[in-house]
Amino acid sequence: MGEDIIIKIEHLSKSYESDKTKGEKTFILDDINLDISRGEFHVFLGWSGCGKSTLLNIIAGFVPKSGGSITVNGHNIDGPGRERGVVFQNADAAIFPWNTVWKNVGYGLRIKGTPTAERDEIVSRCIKVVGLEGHENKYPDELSGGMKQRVQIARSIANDSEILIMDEPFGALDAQTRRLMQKEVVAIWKETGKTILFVTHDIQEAVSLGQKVSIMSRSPNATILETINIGVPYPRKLDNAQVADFFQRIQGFFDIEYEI
Amino acid sequence: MSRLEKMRQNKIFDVLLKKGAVTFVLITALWQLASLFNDADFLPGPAQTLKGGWEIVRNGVLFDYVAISFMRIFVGWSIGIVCAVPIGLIVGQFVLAREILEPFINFFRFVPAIGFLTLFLMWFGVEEESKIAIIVYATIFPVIINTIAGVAGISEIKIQVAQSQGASPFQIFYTVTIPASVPYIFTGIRLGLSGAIISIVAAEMLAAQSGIGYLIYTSRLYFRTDWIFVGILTLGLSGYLSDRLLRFFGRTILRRYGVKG
Repeated sequence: MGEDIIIKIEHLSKSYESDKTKGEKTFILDDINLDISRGEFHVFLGWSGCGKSTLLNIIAGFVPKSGGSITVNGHNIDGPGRERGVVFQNADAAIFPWNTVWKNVGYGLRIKGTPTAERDEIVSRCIKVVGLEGHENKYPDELSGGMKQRVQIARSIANDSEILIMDEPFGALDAQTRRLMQKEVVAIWKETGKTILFVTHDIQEAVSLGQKVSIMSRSPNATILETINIGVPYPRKLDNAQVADFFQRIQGFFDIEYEI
Repeated sequence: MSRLEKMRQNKIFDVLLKKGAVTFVLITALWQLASLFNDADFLPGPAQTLKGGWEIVRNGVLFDYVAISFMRIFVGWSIGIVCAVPIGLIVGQFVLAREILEPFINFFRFVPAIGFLTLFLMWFGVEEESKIAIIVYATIFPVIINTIAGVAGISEIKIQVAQSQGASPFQIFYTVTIPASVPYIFTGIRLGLSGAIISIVAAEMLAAQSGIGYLIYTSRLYFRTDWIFVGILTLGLSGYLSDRLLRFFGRTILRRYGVKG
């Protein structure tokens, strides 16, 4: 790791013009520069409406950028791609209700035309990685919120996406399940070596998960205030002195930025 | 606590209320009451209607007529669905198709099927074809319009999921757009069935020698008001039952697609 850059973001901006602004551009994101290494767990932290989801949507290829550049493995992004798997916050919309867990996880492989035997082997392995054994033949409406997010993660891993883009994936879960899923996602990351981009507004979540945490400023003209390396080994306990230090430091950024 | 509330707490009464039995008893009683004050040729009561109905059940006319009407409905409705679903999917999906076809659809959806009866008799002849054409026409519009709504209402996230899993636009169309539209298509099919029943009765009244509509219309010639009632009851009952059957099919076989009975 280290020098092997998988995502390179340079002078990225997103702006829109409206009648209200009379042709003047309003920048949602302004001059974002970031390198993300292969296999890194990178957290984007910011409060609601700061443009962090817009940034993720641009990286995912759902939203066009206005300026600057983003490359993945040296290639410019001009739309969604299978190397960038997305885990949506709204699992109910993001899993196909007409398919079982098994078929949802195998969706990308069916699209690609992977032979059945190979596909079954991969799907079975990925279902095991996310801990959904025994639920293969269930339909999404029989699953809990946490299990639905596991389906989404398994689907991206099965499709061999190098990057997992997760937009507040645990935001809709109850506190207990959220803690459990945070542990799980670290375990899955370690087992698969994927690059993970993870958006959250929760400082605790950010310091428990991220190798690096990019703190975003307020919109408009949102940008990355600072990217902090959190060199604390996993699993991280929130009462660990180092973790608590990072928590305080990040809290400090927000206090200034949001003038609390 | 009022008497009615006490009755509602009674489970048996509640079930009867929900299943429509209470409504049935009330209406039959009112009908009987009204018939007592009227001549049987003007307003036959339930008993007389039942007696008249038994006559045409025994000689087989009623079943023949129900069968012929539903054969027309079933054939026309099936053809209508088969034509309308692909049109709805394409119009919903492609902007160009929508811009070309939507004014056309929004024009003809206000022209009732029966308005085409004379034209269809001329074009398709006085046999079954013209009646089936009426049913096809009556079915097509609700199915097309609901299918378009289904395609338009697909959540953006589902499309994004498919895109980031590597699906091409065509793959998205048949792995996401079609299954996600099923509940809307199903609603269109149900509306199409009621439209089909309404239209076939009108068509049979004006231009047929058999069928439930024919029964209702010609019974007046024999002063058999009870047969008119039989015809109306048969219509309501068979429409109700076929919709129940359709909904049962929806909530069992199509449940996975989000169809709610």
